[in-house]
Amino acid sequence: MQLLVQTLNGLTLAGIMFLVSSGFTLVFGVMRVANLAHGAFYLLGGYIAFSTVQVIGNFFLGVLVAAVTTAVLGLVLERTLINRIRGNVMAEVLLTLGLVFVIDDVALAIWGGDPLSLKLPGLLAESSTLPGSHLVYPNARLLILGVAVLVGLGLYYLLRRTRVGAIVRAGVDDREMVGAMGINVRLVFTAVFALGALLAGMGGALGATVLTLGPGSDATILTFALVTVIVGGLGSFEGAVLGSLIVGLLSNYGEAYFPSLAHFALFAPLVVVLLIRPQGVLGRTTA
Amino acid sequence: MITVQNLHTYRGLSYVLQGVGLTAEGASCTTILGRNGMGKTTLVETVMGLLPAREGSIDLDGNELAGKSPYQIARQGVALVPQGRRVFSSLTVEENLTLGARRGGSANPWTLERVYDLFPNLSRRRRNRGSDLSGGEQQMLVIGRAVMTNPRVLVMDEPSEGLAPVIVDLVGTVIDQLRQQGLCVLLVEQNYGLAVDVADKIYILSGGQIVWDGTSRELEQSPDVRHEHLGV
Ligand SMILES: Nc1ncnc2c1ncn2[C@@H]1O[C@H](COP(=O)(O)OP(=O)(O)OP(=O)(O)O)[C@@H](O)[C@H]1O
Ligand SMILES: [Mg+2]
Repeated sequence: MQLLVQTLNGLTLAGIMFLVSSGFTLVFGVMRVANLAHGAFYLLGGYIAFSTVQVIGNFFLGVLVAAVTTAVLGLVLERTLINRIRGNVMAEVLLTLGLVFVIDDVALAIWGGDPLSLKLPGLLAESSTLPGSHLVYPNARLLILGVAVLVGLGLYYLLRRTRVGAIVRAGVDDREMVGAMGINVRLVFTAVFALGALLAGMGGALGATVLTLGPGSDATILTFALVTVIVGGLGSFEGAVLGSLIVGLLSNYGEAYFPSLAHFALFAPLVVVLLIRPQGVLGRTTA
Repeated sequence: MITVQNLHTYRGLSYVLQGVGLTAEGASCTTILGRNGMGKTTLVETVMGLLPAREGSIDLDGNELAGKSPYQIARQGVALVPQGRRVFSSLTVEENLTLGARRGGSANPWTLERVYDLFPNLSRRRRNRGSDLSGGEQQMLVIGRAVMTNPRVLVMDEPSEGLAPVIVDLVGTVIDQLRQQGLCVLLVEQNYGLAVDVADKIYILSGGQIVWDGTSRELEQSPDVRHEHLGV
């Protein structure tokens, strides 16, 4: 029973990891930009959801407001700043790192330095008995699992079954040729960056219900996301799914069963994967 | 008709195109020959907008292409079959073909059915990923992908490179058909045999400049030109 609970907790964590890292890997795969501000979008999403729930008392609206706000922010930042320095890796690192400081400080000014935890209203604060067992499990965590699966299916459909998805995948293969096919790649970049920010913001809103939210949460989640996408394979959607499951489960088992080795449990697989398959489990050999 | 005038292009620090000029008419095949590293791909990429022109103009039926981005140039009616094929390897054959599909104002547009009729192999492999195809099939795929945009000008960069002789013949036949359907084909080649077979007009590029131009027949009758600039 205990193992089952820990597995479910690990899956919940994997769900949050997936929301955050799928956005990160999408942006990296298509734009070749390692967006260090991705964690800051997560943080912002969490805070915005927190405040929305405080004011309106509806969690779903909180998630929506968080996702839309971070998406718009991502869109504006891509259009005004990121697209000016495209292709210059050093400038991209410095710019996205600079954005982290700016967003963190703004968040500090608005929400203060104490860790917050998003208190869910109504039914979401309760627990349910899982069918076919006597297991009682928090509704909030079930919601996270459900949302992660839905978003995963939605992204899969978008990427595999639509023309937009084909353009995005083609962009990962050969960006230049996508332009030569008559497709405005800049527009695709903007859309992908906004989608990445949306996923991070959504991850923050959901993550804030089970993880503490405060200064530094962004760096923590970014580290997790980096491990996830490196293990799974940078730029690969399936890699993000697999990486999230590995990282979520391992780090939760680590915390639960050998807390002093929790970080080892998280980073050991990273080292092993990097030694055996430097491109990640589902990554491709050439970039 | 596409007219290139006084085109200068740099690749990084190296000064590659040093004042190139040429004309390619509709319903014909204009071929550019030249040895390795003479700037053929640089010319192709400048026409497509993938490399910026420092100076000069590229005129397509009265519209200036120089300075535009690749997607705008593609929408003006230029399609590229790039050197090294560059299929979208994680897309299926069908996705590769439909990705940039446009009618392009053509009265008798290229459609999936027509491409599959032309290349039955692709039809059989429509659900396969681009990376699963053989070299020859990949070449057919990128030709199909380009014509699906229904261009006015088809720029091909060494489409025969690394292919078996039968497939090279097929490429030649296809170029012939496209030309007869009114397309302006701008072909870059190192395969001398293919070039003289299909070309209506030939330019020789050497050291970033056009050093000779004429018809296939004229080139056949000028062994010294061939020897000096092409080594054949
Ligand atoms: N990225 C680059 N940076 C600097 N110089 C380059 C670069 N790529 C190619 N060159 C140089 O530019 C010149 C022209 O190259 P280009 O690819 O246009 O030749 P090409 O005629 O297409 O050759 P090939 O027949 O081998 O395809 C060559 O001398 C090459 O060494
Ligand atoms: Mg070349």
